[in-house]
Amino acid sequence: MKMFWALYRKELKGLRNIFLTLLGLILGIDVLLATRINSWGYWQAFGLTFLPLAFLIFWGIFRPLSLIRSEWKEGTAPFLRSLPVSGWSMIGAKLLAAFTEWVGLNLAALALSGLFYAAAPLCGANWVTLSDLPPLGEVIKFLTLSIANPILGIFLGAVIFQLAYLLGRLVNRFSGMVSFAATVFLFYLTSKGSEFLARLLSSFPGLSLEAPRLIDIEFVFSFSTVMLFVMLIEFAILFSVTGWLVEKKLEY
Amino acid sequence: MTFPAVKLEKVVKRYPLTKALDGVSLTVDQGKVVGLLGHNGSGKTTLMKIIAGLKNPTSGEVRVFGMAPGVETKKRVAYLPEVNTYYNWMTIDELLNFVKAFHPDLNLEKAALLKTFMNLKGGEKIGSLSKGQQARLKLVVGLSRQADLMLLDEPLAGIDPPSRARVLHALVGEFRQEGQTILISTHEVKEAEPIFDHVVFLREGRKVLEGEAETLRAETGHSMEELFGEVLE
Repeated sequence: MKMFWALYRKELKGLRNIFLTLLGLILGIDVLLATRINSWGYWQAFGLTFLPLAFLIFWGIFRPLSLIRSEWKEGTAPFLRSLPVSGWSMIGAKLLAAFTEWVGLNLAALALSGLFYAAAPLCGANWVTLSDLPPLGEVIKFLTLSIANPILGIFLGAVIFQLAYLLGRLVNRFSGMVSFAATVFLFYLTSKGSEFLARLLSSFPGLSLEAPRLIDIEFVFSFSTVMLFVMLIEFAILFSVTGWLVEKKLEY
Repeated sequence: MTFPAVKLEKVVKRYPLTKALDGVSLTVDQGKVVGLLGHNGSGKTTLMKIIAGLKNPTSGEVRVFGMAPGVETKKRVAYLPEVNTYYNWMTIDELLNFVKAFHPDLNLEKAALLKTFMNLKGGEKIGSLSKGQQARLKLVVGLSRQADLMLLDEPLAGIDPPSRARVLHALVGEFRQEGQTILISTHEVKEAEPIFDHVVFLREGRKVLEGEAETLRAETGHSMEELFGEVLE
């Protein structure tokens, strides 16, 4: 594990400059929105503070790919692979470092949105009263699923892009085309796999994909839980394959 | 049981359009300094990378200290490629600490001595180093370790001619670990000749001559440099 953490720390150090740049960008957007409250209205400006979160989902998916790609682009892959660590550690450290960066940026964006919200009375708007919120149990369940699902989606998307890129590195020529084709194929394969696994899991008690006439919160929870397990299984499979590729098949 | 440092059996490495190695068999005994000699494209780098576990042979068998190349052999091998493969954003000291996390055999005190010897400063960013300094940095990293096998791919490339003798002396002299096996690929035969115990000549992926340096010199009456010209031209 010591070696894994050394790899992880190395990745984090390498991310530092871009992380700080993005942090500055998010702060800049919020400052800009704060100056627009009078012309756009408080709630519109507040809603727009969540815009960086949408962008960060894509960032979270592409970041591990860029970390892998840079090893080849900058010619550091042979050094990395000459270290006595497994391919899974190498890929895992990159995923975890990118995820840490993603969490950091999200927390910063949410904290700034929180500050924005805290200042609502100063801008002539009122806070939402607690009685307007659904029961606490449902809020917690909703938040858990709505956080866990995007996170797993990001991990899954990230590992698909990583694997597709590395498949392209298996050939000496047309590696870009091979990576592109592999990306399309892997997304197709994953979606088919999702269908199969979702059907399989929905046969478990308490998990149903049968949509009621009126979509209720229970169905949303059930659907999200099934998708959570589906993505977890698919991620585990693709991560294993990617690590095996780095370990046994790729050349440097 | 003592295994040879490296044992290759009919190793072939084929690419779609070329054959980089064509049935190379080789045994490198522990504790020897072996010169892998050949022109550019003769297969030296491919052979080094296969031993380092960075490339897979198309066919044939590779054993490093009796094991197939992998995580376990990488713990005992220091591979120093010809080009700079280190992270440009790291400083020299950051790199040494990073390598130490994977190779506890790296001696930071020895590294400090080597940095002075090679005229490098720990706080310098790798990206700002000249080609010659990067070449010397590789040797600092490699020689700071107590690696059982050191693979040096063109270690003199980028090092200015007046410093080469000094660097080679350091390599096999004061900074060498006792019993360490060194495999050096080079086409700078004249300068490296005095340090070889054993030499292997490669041409177009084939081994064309191999033997103890002293014996070859006595038998042929030629220096390694002359043999290089004779055998490989």
